[in-house]
Parts: sequence; C-alpha cells; structure tokens
Amino acid sequence: MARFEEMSLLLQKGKAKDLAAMVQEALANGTPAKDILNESLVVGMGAVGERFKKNEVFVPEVLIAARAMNMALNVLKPALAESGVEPVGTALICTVKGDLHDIGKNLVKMMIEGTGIRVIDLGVDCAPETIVAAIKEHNADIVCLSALLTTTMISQKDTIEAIKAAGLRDKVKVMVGGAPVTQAFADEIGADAYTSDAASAAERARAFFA
Amino acid sequence: MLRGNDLATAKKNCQSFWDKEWIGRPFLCVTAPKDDYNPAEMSYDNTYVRRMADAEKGDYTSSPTEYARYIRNIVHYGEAMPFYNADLCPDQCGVFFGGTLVGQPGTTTSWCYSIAEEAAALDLTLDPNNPTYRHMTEGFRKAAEIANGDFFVSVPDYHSNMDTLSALLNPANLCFELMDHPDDVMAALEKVNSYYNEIYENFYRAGNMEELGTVGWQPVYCSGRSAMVQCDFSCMISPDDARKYVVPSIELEVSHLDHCCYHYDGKQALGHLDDILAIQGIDAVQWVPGDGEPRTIEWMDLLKKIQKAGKSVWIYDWTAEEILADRELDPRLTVFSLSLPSQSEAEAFMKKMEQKY
Repeated sequence: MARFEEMSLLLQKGKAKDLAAMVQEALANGTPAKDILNESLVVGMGAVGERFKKNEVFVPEVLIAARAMNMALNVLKPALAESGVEPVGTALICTVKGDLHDIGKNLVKMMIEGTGIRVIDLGVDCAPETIVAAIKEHNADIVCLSALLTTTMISQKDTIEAIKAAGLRDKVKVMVGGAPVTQAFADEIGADAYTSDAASAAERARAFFA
Repeated sequence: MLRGNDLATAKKNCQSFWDKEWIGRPFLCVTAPKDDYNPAEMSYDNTYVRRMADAEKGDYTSSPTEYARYIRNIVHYGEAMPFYNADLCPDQCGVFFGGTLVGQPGTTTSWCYSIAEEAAALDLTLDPNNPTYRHMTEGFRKAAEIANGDFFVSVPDYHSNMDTLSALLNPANLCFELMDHPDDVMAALEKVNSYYNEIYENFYRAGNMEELGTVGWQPVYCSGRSAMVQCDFSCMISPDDARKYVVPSIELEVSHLDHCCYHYDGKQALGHLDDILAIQGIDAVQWVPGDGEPRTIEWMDLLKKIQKAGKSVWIYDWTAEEILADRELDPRLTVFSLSLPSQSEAEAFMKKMEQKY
C-alpha cells in the first residue's frame, strides 16, 4: 500500500529529499506513477494552495512545497513517460514586456506544474513577438501573462492583440494575473481567465483541460 | 528658502505634527504651479534612469540645476517643503552591497539585479568606494551646493533591512533561504542592519541635512533625523517571521531617528499591522494599498485603526474635495499631501480648510 498521505504531507512541509526518496520507493514497490502524481503530489499541492488562500501558510512555505513537488516530479517523469502518461497540455508563462517582477510568475509556474501541465517559462520582460513565437514553437495550449505594475499591465493587452494578429487566438487560452490586474481588466482586454492567486491560477489552468 | 516667507511657521507646524499638537487644522503639504510659472522650466526629467545616466558620466549638477529652475515655479502651502530627490535606484541599499544597478530601457526606473542565491554567499561589507555609493554621495553633495539652502535634498529611500537582502538574492531566493538557512539570513540581516546608521549619516552629511533638517519621501519636515522606514518584503512572510526578522530591524532603524513614517505597502502585509503599530518610535504611517486596489479613502477602518494606535496617517491620494469633506479622520493625526493645478486653486483650498476648522 503506497503511502500517499505521507507523501502529500512531506510535500506540504517542503521536505523535498524525503519526498523524492519516498516516491522512488513507491515506484520500486510497483505503485503506478500516475497514482503517485494524482493521489499525493496533486493533492498535497492543492492543500498548500488552500492554506495559502486562508493565510495559514505564506510565500516561503508555498515555494518550498512547490520545490519538493518539482523534485518528486523529476523522479516520476521517466515512469510517467514509460507508462504513457503525458502532460495534459503545455502552458507558457512569463512576465510581460517592461516587467521584471517574477516571484508571482514563478509561484504560478510551480503550482501549474503540480497539476500535470507542462510549463515553459519564458522568463521576464517578454515582448509580444517573443510570446507569439513561443506559442508556435511549443504548440502551447495556455499562455499565462503576469504583470505587477499598472504601467506594464497594458502589455498584457498588447500581447493578446499580437496573438490575435498572428492568427493564434483561437488556439490558446490566455490567463492574466498580477497585483494590479482585475477581472474587469481581463474582460476588457479579452483574456480567457483572471485569477488573483497562484493556487487559483493552477486550478483554472487545469480546468481548461477538463 | 523657496518655501517663502512663512518658513518659520511651517517648520513650527511640522514640529507640532511630530509632537502631535493641534494647529487648528490637519497638516497640509499643498503645492501648485505659480500663476506666473514659466512653462519652459516645468518639464523637468526627474527619473532614476536620468540621474543614473548623468552620474555615470560624472554629471552631478544638471539634474539638481534643472530642479532648482523647476521649483522656482512651484508655490508651497501649509507644511509643504521643496525637496530634490537625488536617489539613483529604488533598491539602492542592495546596490551599495554589490547588487548590479541596471537602468530599465524605455522606463523611468532602475533596478538592483540580484547577485547570489544564498545569504551565506553575500559579502555584506559596505565598501565606501562602491561606484553607486560614491556617485550618490557626490550627487547629494552637489545637489546641496546647488540648493544653497533654497530647497532640501530628500532623505534617501533606503529599502534597507530585509528589502536589501531581497534585492541581493531576489525575493524567491530569500524566501527559500528563510526556510533552508534561517541562521544565515539572520546573520546577513544583522550585518546589513549594522550599516544603517553609517549609510544614513553619510547622506545626512552629504545632503547638508545636519544644518537644514530632513524631509522628502517622508513628507513632513523634521529639524533632526527623519526617514521613511519600511519592509516591502514583509508582504510575503508570516507574522511569526515578521516578528523575528522585520520588527527588530525597524526598531533598530527607528532608534537612530528622531522621527519617522512607516511606508506600509500592500494588503498582503496587513497581517503584521498590530506588530508595526506596536513599534513605539513610528510616528506616522503611509498606507499604500497597491496597484489595482481601491484608493486609501476606501480603507477608512484601517486608517482609523492606525490613528487609534496613536500614529498619524499620511494621505497622498485624496482630491481637494475629499479632504474638505472629510469628517472621519482625526485631523490632529492626519497629514494630507495635495498637488493642485493652479496657485489660485491652492489658495482657495487653504482658505476653505482654515474656515472648516
């Protein structure tokens, strides 16, 4: 019997090495990789997200949990591939042109990865043309655009327009976030989704593949 | 002093602000262009990027000279004082400790790029020959010379304590370090904090503040040492961590100052409010809800809570009409900053405020 709950708790506490070892052990004992992913990692990360929303844990605790999850995912990946389990889709993530604030973006990236979506991190200060090129290159399903400042959130609009101009708007879902961004702004610029925190962003991204 | 003939009264009122004495109205820092302003002197490029580019060329005089021309066209009312901002970067303390100063092309701001991933890897010895430290010190000296007592050189916006470490490591790495190596973070923080007084005194002297007093980012003139204190990084951490790392740092900084205002940035940091308000030496709080949040007028319960704790509030984003209509804030514990489009409107506003109280 795999110790899913124990693994989930190790993830929530950010015990990366212990978690990776236990994942390795579970695989060696014949536990299907997909079950480990869904019953411990996704569940654990979801619990962290919920506690974050309730101000029971804070950014450092979320970051170490996400790091533990990533380490465990690295252990799982070969087994997942071997058993034919593919990522449910591909998301691109970046901060938009002019914006160098990346902690929110990094947090969202790790949380989305925890839902089984492959995430390509384009980094910071990404011009619309860079994002358009990356959508084509990676055959992306979702684009996540982060902006921390009122002065840079307008680049989210510019990026959506560039995606439209490239004829890719129907192909990708665009998610926007960042401190100054609101649902009203997201609606105004034609984004598919706005979320106010990393945990909600991960839930929303996963829901696109439901 | 370009402040005008009522400088002595304004200074006296500012002292009353710090002493929490009633002056017959709330404290007001009101500015407007003079009726006969010269439009050619109004377009002053007051950006980090410009000052940084000037300093790298060894030009410490162009910007304050332009400011001196600009400020002649501005009239000050109430407790407002003319001051020149000579800072080179929002995270300049990080740059003083080796962070990389980078001007962001196409924007008005400059950044401190991180230089390490772990706190233990940081060399936190303040080098007086650090190029940015030297540039900025020289910039303060030249600005004070050009001011010649006509205006103040603003107390720097330090971004000290945990914000310095956040700039040097980047916020995510500092978060990891808090979890992985808390002792290293504490040691690094203590080292950074140990330089606060030295850095403060350096710019205090260079900016001729010993003679003139202090004002600037913290908007109310103080005859002694004053500053804005803050920890923006606190928005990421738990109240327990804030008590461990942030509150003692702020207390240390406050102990060096005669008066100070706390720059409270972002609703994510509100979990620390009681701890911040419990710091005795904080005189006033500037509440900044953050981009995308409602303006401060929508946070009346919070503003009242700050006042109930005996701290003044600095309000910087209300309209003249909102200030005139206000009946909720305690005026003895309120300072309003307001820029109006014309001298006549500023005078009318001041008159209405006098009549109101």
